[in-house]
Amino acid sequence: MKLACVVQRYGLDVVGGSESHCRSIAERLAAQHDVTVLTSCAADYLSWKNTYPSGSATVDGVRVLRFPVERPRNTHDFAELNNIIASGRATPDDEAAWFRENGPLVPGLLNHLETHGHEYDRVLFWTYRYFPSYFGIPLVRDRAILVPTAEEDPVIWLRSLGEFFTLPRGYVFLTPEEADLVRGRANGPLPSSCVIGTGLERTTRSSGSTTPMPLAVREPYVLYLGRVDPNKGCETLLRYFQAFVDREGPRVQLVLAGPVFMSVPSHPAIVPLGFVDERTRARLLDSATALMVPSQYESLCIALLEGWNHSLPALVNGRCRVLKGQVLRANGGLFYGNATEFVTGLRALLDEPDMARQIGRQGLEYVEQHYRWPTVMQTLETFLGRV
Amino acid sequence: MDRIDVTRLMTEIRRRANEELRDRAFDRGNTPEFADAELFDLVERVLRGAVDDADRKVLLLSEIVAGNKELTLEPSARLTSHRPVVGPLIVFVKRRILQPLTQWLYEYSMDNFRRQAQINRILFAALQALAIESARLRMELDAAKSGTTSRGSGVA
Repeated sequence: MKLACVVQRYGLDVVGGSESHCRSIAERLAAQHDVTVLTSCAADYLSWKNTYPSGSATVDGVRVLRFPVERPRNTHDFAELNNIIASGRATPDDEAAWFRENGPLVPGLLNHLETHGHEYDRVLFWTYRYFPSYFGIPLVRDRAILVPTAEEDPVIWLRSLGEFFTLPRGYVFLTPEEADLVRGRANGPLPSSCVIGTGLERTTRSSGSTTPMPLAVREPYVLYLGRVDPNKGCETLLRYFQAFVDREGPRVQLVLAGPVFMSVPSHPAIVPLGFVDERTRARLLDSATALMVPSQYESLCIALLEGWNHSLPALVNGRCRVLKGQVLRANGGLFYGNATEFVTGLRALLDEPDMARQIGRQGLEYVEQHYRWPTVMQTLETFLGRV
Repeated sequence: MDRIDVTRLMTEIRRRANEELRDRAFDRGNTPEFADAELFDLVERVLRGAVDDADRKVLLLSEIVAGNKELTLEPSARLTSHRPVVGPLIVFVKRRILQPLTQWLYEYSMDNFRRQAQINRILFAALQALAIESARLRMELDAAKSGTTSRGSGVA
């Protein structure tokens, strides 16, 4: 098949959930099909400044066509539009303006879809919320497959999405909860779809054991992986963890492994490490007691799967349906809805180590069953063949 | 160790957490009603439901007050000017000079606006749950009363 993968940014140094997902899939699809990635010249998702040269390139064996961003994002206008969206009173014009300002503004990519879209058998779009997908799908709707990566954030409630979600020919979801969310927002029945999640490579418990542990870290510790950011639920995690320390004493450390975008209280039991490399990350995962996942908005939590890949039990935010669903399906963790449940859950994981280890093992079994690349790609290939 | 069913385990953990929460809410007798565990569970369920529903449901009270300017938070500053000639210049000055200067205050206020809006949604959801409960009880009471009346009139 001749396939196009449309995504907002693409490159070896591009970090981001949907971008990494797109690259992993595109590279694997390219082994069987004629794949072209259509993307912008941007590397930074805040400014969308042109960084890569426009035109054709090859990235890890995949053909990439990059289109220049017409103008960078106007951060002030975008903040204003975000406020209007969050207020729930956006007009159709506000909504269209939001999708334009969210960017990256790549009219060349839309022209390409208009003139060459019919040459592809299928056009896969990653993430509904960016300009290329929102304005691109209507141009090739008869062959468009959307990987929405939808979360329960305010954007999902935009009225124009009701119609938009009925346009694609098919959907690739990351979790059943995401499928339910999009189904609930669409103005009509959804077309054919599949749920693939993502793939993980097998790891061994000793994968990071030769790497020294960061100096400030003392066992036992619980681990948070990813950007330390209020939008990722870290403010609440820190508050709840402090409630735990207040009630139980400093019997465990909270280690935050990821770049920090908020103020972290200075507390001996809280250890912000900043960005850590892959080996340190593996080392931390190997020796942690549990993984903390406080995010409220997720379409699929890769950090949670990573934790399970290391047989680590999880304590997740139960107000996020995706996290709760993942944990219940895997029998791989506990969840909380308030500070008291957080404290009780964490206490149980610390006081009952056999139970915690068994839950971690069940998480690993779940990853083995559903999240290895051959399984993921087989599901996707079957779907692309029949849709 | 045998396979663990997290759903069952969570029932137990929630029971423990609720017991702890009830103890805190009982507040050494300041809210004596919470001495009754069953009553506490009912109250907790309504309030928890409100928190969950706040983001996931169209709330009747929000719909009823929608459009009433006096009851609507206006977080975004849509900058305009009514002056026909110098208007664009005034808007330009407001957007490019005054607004950047007051950005810190704006962002601080916006953050609190967002939190307040979220609290409002939770309160609306709690009120909606209580109103539904109250309406149901009213209907059951009316039905019970009319049953008593008709039985009563039958005897008469």
